[in-house]
Amino acid sequence: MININLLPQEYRRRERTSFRVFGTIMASVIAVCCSLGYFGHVYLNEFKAVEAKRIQQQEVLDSLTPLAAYDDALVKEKAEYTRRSQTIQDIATSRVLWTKVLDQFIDIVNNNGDTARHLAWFKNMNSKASGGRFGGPSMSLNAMLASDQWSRQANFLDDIRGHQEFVQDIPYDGVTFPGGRVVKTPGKTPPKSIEFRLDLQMRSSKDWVVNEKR
Amino acid sequence: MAQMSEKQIMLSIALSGLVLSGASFGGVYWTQGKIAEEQSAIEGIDGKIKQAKAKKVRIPQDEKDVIILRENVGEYVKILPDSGDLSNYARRVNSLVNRSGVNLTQYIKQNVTGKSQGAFGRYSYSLTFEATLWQFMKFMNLFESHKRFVAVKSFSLTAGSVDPDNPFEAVRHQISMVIETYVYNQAAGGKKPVTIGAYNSKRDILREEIYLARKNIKVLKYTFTGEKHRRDIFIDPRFEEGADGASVENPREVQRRIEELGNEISALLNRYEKAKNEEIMIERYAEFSEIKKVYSKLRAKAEELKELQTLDRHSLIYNNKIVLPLENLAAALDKNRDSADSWTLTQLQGNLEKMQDMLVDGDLISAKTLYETMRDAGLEFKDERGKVAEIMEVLYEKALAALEFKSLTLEMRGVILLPKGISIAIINGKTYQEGDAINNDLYLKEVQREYVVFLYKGVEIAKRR
Repeated sequence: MININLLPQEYRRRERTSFRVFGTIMASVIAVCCSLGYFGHVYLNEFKAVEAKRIQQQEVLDSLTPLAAYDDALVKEKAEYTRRSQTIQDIATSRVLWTKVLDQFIDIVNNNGDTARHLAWFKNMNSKASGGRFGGPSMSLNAMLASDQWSRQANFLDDIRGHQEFVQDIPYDGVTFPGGRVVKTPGKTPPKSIEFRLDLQMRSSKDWVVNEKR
Repeated sequence: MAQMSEKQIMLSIALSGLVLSGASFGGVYWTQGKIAEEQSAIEGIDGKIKQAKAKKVRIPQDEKDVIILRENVGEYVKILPDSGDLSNYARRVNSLVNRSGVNLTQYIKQNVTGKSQGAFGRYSYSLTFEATLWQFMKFMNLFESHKRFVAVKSFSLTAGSVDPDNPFEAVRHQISMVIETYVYNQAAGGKKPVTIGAYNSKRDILREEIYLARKNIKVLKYTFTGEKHRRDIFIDPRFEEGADGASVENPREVQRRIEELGNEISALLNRYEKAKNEEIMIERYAEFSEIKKVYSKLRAKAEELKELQTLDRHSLIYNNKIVLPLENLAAALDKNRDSADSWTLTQLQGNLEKMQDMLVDGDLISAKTLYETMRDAGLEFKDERGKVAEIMEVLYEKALAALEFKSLTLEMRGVILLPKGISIAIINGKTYQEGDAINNDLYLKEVQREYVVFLYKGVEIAKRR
């Protein structure tokens, strides 16, 4: 059914927003206000607080940066000088004192003048300060022994190995006598002698007793 | 446009509210993202701050380390030659050549293969020379003990041969040697050292630690003390046979003589050790006196051996068995002479009395020996013992004069005694009055019935007729 209202405007009943619409509007307004309020809280309160903290920390960092850079430079310089210090120590401690080595070797060969135990001499000698079998210095000698008794050669070997100071940096198998041969020299007394090669190989300088003590 | 129905209005209002709320939540979501970013940035900054703070805390320690290292590297490198030293290297080598006596024939600066070690430039030189073993050792030692670091990298020695026309001349060997050193370049790497505020005062505070750290580096050196009577190990020590197959000086015989003399010296040393423990001082010094006599004989024998041409082949054993023990014995005997200061006044007076008794008893030889033994041990005193020693010396001279007098031939045939006048004695067939000179040193002083008194070298001596 259709109601027809023929009353003039002023007599007509005023149209009102329905409760449902009003309720909807109120609900929407509340929801929007709450969400906007929450956004405002998050942005203006939480975010700004964090941002302020970040700016503050950045300022702290900025004030510390030159000191950190100074320390970095010190650390770099320390590393460089440590390297230099180590290099010079390596240079100094890797030097083999050939005079000492040779002096001790001459003592062994001379054997306090006792020629009955062994009487050795050498035709040549070659030495290198590094690159030996054990990474250290090495000596190689073309040796002669005035006797055809091989026991004299063993005596000589024993005396080398028995000289504590001389062999302190030479491992047991660093003293090698790879055989030899008896040669005869007419006109000499005794005419027979044993010719052999003597190799002495020292340990690497970092393993020397003197460097271990440091 | 048609009017919206209530439903439509409600829907549009709800939708608008929803959109606006959604936009707000979108804003919240975006803000949360920004907050997360900021927090992440804060975490990053915090980390950096933590690191920076840690570095700030480390600064004093790092400054300290750098100062110590800088100072010590500066000190360490003093062991290395500087560029000025390198320019003078040839001069330096020449000086060492002169000091050692080697004959340098070649000196070449080598091209260094391999990299230099950072701030340390490597320099290498090759030397070729002729030298005896001992010259070579000295030459090498001069490099190794040089105040600026030099390392002998390698060497090779080829033994020289004995000159048959002059077999006892020192043999020179052919030697080549490579030496190496380093030069420090502080500016290597082009980095400027960090400027440390108040460096000098900080360095002064750390002086002790700098000194302690300096101990980490020490260049070991060795002092070569020379030949020490050892034979050259690069010379054939065997001897040449003579034309008839026999050696001029048989080395075994030389060695036997050395050992024999060595044994005699050793026995004398033992005797000395025993004598040292003798409790009676006079006997101790009497024994020392005997030992000195034997020592002189052994010394003469040692000198004889020294004349042997082949002694250099036995020089080590000669030195060890003869020279050194003789030197030790001589030093010990000298020491005893010095220690004679230990004579006490009582001992001296006791010996003086003993000497007087000996002279009274006519035991001239014992008195002489006693004094000589004491004199050998030393009788020079500046205190009151000196007076006693002087009296003993006078007695000794009297004893000597008496001994000499005893050896004179004085034959007394008779005397003429004149109690109120000058008596006469017939000596060696001649007549002498009291006061007459028999010779330059001898006078007739007094004539008695039983004896005659002579004055010999100022000493009165009574002789029985």
